[in-house]
Amino acid sequence: MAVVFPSTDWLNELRRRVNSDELYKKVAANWEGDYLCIVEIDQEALRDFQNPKILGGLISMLAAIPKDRRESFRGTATEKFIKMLGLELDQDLDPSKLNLEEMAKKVAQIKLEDIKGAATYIWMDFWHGEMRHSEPVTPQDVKNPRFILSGPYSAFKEIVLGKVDPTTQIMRGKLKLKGDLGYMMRNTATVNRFSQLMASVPIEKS
Amino acid sequence: MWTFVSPRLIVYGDDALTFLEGEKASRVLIVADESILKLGFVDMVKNSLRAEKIEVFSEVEPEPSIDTALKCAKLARELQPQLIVAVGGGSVMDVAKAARILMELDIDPIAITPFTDLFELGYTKKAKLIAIPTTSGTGADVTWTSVLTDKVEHRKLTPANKEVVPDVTILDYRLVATMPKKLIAGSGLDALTHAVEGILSLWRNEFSDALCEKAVEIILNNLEKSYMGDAEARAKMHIAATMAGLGFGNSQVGLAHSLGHTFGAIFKVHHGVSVGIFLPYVMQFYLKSDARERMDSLARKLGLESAEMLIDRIFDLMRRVELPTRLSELISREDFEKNLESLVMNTLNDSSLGMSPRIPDYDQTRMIYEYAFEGKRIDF
Repeated sequence: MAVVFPSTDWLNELRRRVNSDELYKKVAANWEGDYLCIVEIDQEALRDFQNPKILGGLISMLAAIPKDRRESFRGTATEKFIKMLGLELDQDLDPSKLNLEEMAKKVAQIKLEDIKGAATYIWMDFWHGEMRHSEPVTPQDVKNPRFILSGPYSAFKEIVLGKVDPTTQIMRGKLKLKGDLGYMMRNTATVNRFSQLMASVPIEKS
Repeated sequence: MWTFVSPRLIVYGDDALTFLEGEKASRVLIVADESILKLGFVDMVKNSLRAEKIEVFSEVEPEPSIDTALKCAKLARELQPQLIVAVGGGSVMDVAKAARILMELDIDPIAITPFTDLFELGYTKKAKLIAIPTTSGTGADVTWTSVLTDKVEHRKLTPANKEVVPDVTILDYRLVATMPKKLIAGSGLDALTHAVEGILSLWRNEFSDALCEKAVEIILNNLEKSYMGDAEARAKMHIAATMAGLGFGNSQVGLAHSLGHTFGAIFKVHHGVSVGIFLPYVMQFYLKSDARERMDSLARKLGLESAEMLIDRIFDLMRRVELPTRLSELISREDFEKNLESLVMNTLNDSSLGMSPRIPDYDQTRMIYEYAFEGKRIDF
């Protein structure tokens, strides 16, 4: 079944695929390391989030973070974006109980310059052929990730749709990668297989 | 955003070395190997320079190790040269390219990646780097990667960064006039593999296509003649190798290099032979992908009817220059089977693989090796 990106459904499906993939287990048998992905809201995100289903996916990411930890967003552009949707950081955020149609209409009124820097943070932790964690986080939750991959939503979207691989996005300057780059270069099979699995998750188009 | 990386200057001709007479550096490090030293090429370079102090690092071995690059960097750190001159084949240039950076930065060479900001780490580009290739194949004089061997893991690693590219390359035809026939064939096949893979890479672009297509044409028309002793063809091959280097350096290579890097590292086979032997098999594997259209188009530009005919033409050229066309001509069945698992796993971990138009999975990689060992046409 197709899922929307970003969403907890997408994260769960990705984790299911990674952990049931025999080739990944084999090529990533020695891999130890986590990624923090910082998906920055851009103009394309503001367009896609006018689709209530995709907006619901984004809110499911925020809802998955316990209320007390969401406080880390206080005073940030991310909080501003949430407020512009008519939401508060400390409220219950079950997407099925929210009026997503109305909220999606509010997205249409938001100007990118007003929420510059707003982002959703995804932590993915891999250990010896297994994806141990895949969850939405706040900027303060993950202290020293082995890799930080950051960039606009549109660049990540191209990857999850399988249009382009992460290495190409980094080479084109669309995404920035920081961390133990030498380790990554020694383990390209792991990176390539994970990219293939990520691109294999069926995505509901906007 | 994409970028096209190249040296600032390409100097070519049968007197190109005289360019060095204009260099003002007072401290120069020449990087070479023992055979280049014996051939007198280091003396030719020395005689063209006006430096007060010239030191020579000639310990570069074929398929050079990370340790060799570190050793060369140590000497450079002591000498603090304003100019490094790499005179030799790909191995020499790869060591010099890595050493120029490692003389300033105390980092693991593999940490030199396309995504690393070397200047942020403290790199100031103290030394200018001039590459003088003495073979016609590697294109290492114009690329921004350096291929080094990890002797512990028996695999090739490719430190790569835009700052790795030499500042100047000098193509002096005199230096390839006496190249041994075996080397003419092996390095020529290397250049052909670069050019073809450069055209098929996912990162191909108009610049790389123009350079790689012309290089394929020159190589197919001149490699055999150069092998038979034609001096004009030899000069054209020297130009074509650098042209292919400029092309694939800006679009990257693919599966043939992943297989060849791995095979060469384990069985100590010349780089050109080890990547080139896989080229026609990889092209057969690509027939069932989007790359088929590009191979057909390339074939037509060369006056051939189809990709299959181009593959046959490459096999034919390999035989004409007395190169092996299957792995069983190079290694025994026993050695092959003993190392097959490592071959497959290291191929899947090779950094060139990601840009291939069709990436094989574990089983397909294994089958490609088996077919290439037997010399069977790939039909999967």
